[in-house]
Amino acid sequence: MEPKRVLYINLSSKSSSIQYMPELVDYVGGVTMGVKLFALYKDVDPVVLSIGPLNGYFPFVSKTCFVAENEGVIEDLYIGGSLGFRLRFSGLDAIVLAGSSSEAVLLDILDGKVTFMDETADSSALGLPGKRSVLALSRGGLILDSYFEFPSGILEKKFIAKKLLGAVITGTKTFSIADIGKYTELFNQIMGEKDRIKVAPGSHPSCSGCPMGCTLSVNGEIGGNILVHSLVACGFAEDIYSNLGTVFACLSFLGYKYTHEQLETLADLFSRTLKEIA
Amino acid sequence: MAKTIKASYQSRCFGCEMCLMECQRQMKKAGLEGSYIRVLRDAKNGLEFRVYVDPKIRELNIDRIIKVCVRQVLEEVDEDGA
Repeated sequence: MEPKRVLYINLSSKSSSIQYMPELVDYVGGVTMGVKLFALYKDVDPVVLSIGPLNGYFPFVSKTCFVAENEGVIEDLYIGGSLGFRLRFSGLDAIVLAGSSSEAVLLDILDGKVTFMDETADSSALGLPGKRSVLALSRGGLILDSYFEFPSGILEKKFIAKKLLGAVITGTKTFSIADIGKYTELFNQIMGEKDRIKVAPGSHPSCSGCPMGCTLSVNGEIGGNILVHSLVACGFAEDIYSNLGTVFACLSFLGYKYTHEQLETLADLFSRTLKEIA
Repeated sequence: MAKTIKASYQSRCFGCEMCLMECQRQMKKAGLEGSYIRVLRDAKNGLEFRVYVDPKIRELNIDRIIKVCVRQVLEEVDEDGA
């Protein structure tokens, strides 16, 4: 399987690099990989953004995982919007925000290439329309795409402490799909289970890859099912994405050679990784 | 008269990008680049979206694209706009 691609951003030195990390493959993605990245970089107070292998491909896999430390506790938070898609189509599996800037900085990230902008930059003028996601400190909070909020104020505090005004993330990469018939079959099978989503449909701004438009997408999530949040599916789609058969079929289609045992024991791997940090 | 798609009810769009995924799926790819439908979020107001349809969309299965939109933003029209 291909190594995970992690964009490491050092806010202190205003430098960045993309790291190819085969050792992260067993962690699948999302929260399990995010916690492992936190463990690897814990000395630089990291905020880790991570997605899973299904983001950008299958419906309801619509969230991005954030892992950060708050008052001695490792928190995993999830936000929807368009960020998961933009990370996938940047060709990235995770971003690590390390250290702190000496002055206020805004990140403009295009397909993994980082430009450090000062506080005079206007986030709405950065990136490519239709292919960007904007994460910005505003109205006293950390807001994604001018609408989606993070649960609690944990990340807002982190961003303020790091003097990070936000990030604009643009992704222009595309990935070819060899067996379009099989892909469409799987996609439609999952869409056919829309009634198992544990939230009512609505008319509110929806997350990319999710046609529910629910009232709760604005709030984000804290914690939850480890497999679901390693993918990173919406918590309300837990009934669909906690089904190992479905997950295995989707991963296999995309060329991932995880075994059933690996997926079944992912929660154990998560727990062991958490203990590495303690 | 050839058929195409018009985003006739843009105010209904809530930005799920399912239409974009369908377009790209018909083109045997995943991604945002090169899609015949673009969904743009209002930079200042996260509640509003604009949907842009490339005329080349006529090359694709229009019916499937229209049906994937739960908000019924899209409709089939003749290429002269009728």
